[in-house]
Amino acid sequence: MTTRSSHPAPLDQELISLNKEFLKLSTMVEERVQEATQLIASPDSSLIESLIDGDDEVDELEVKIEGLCIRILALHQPFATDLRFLISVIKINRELERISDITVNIAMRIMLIMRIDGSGKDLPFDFTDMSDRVRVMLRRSIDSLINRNAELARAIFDRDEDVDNARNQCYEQVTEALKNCPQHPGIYLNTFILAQHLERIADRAVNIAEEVIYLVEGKVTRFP
Amino acid sequence: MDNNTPGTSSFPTISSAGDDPGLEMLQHNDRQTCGTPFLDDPLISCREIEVFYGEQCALHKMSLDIGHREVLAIIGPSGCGKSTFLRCLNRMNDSIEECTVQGEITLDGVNIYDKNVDVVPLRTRVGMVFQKPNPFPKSIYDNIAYGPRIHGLAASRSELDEIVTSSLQNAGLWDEVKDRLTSTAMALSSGQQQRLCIARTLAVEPEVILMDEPCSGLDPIATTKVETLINNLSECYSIILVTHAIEQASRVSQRTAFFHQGFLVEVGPTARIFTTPESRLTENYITARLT
Repeated sequence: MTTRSSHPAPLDQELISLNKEFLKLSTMVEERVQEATQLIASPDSSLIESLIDGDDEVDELEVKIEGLCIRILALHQPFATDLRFLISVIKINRELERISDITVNIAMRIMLIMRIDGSGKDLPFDFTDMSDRVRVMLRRSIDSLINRNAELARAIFDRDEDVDNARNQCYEQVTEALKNCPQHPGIYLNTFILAQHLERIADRAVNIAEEVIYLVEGKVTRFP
Repeated sequence: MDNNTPGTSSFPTISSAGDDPGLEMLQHNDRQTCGTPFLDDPLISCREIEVFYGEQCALHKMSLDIGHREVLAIIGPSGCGKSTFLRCLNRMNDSIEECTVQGEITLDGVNIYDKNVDVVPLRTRVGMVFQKPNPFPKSIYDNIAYGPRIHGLAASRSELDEIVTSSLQNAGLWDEVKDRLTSTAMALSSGQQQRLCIARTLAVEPEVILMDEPCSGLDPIATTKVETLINNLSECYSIILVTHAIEQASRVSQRTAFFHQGFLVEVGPTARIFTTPESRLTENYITARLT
């Protein structure tokens, strides 16, 4: 019979600490995406400010997590699952930081739209469905990571096309609106850029899912 | 011996006892070794090897090939049969009275346990480097010249000089000792003594070098020198390296075999074993969660 001390081994202790910080970052970024989509639905100056200022905290945590990964690699030379976990964390860490940057971009776009029309509520595209889909994709990619679930990660691939379609639909509606009402090009262009930002968040959720599959199965997978 | 069926070696598997992998019970089931123990053109071929010390079975029907000019690392916890397996390959176990070896081990197609095989020339073809450097209490020159003299490999003093020089060069020791060849080998550092022992092995022109924990007593610099040497020697020799240092196995070998309780659990390309092992037992060992 194998037995294990009640105190975790040094490597396990470091991995537990890393996992805690990584979950903190995941939660922060998920909340920021929630707030960014809320901002699209209901523009709010204080939320814009909070999203822009909050990115520094994400950046700091991302740097801290990368440092922890480097430390563990240097001090423990992990193998197998531990090695794959660290490689996945390093890559997903970067994806989460980029998603946070995109939420800042969304906030700035909304700020620009509000400068043009004041309320920012009359966008030529209804983002409700697209926002929901993007939030679900990100949530599931993070869930698949937490639960080490490759099947859940693979299911995310199927959802990406819906988000791409929504972006294309936004393009068509913006083009139509520009033809019919050409006096507000700034609002229309920024509306399409918002759709692109959301689509990029979905792409990064797909990237996270690819890393989860590598973590769980050891297979390098790329969604076409 | 019995007819051999590739891939039928047994190994212990684990059954989960809750979420904590450290609380798993080890069980022995009749299961295939994970990975591919067999090669198309092996230099050494082991089939269904069983080793007993008296009544106690130390190796259980183990089958494994060793290729030409490869470094095969053997890893596993203490008592798993690594050294026992290594000592089968040049019949070092013959000197242990209660030890019996069953099965077949061929070198270039010849059964090394055949009654007509002379162990002395076998051990020149399959040399061995031990955990603790064991230079003879002689000069550096005489340590290297000892084997060639015994086996009559040099017809003249100049030929012997050439063997000594090339052996020390190939062992990466020449530059450090060329000006003191007549000095005693006992004055060398541990790392130098180990490379001297490797040079002594090379001097009798082996085809295979068995290394049993060759760096266990060496500092990191001496270890790096020996590992670099292993890498260089693999261009000309097959090397079987037994090591407790799994990082060393990952650094220097092309294939790795994981032994546990006398069974070959898994064997395969080192890069695969250390990133995506098939066996949970291998995974637990290389992530230090197997006690």
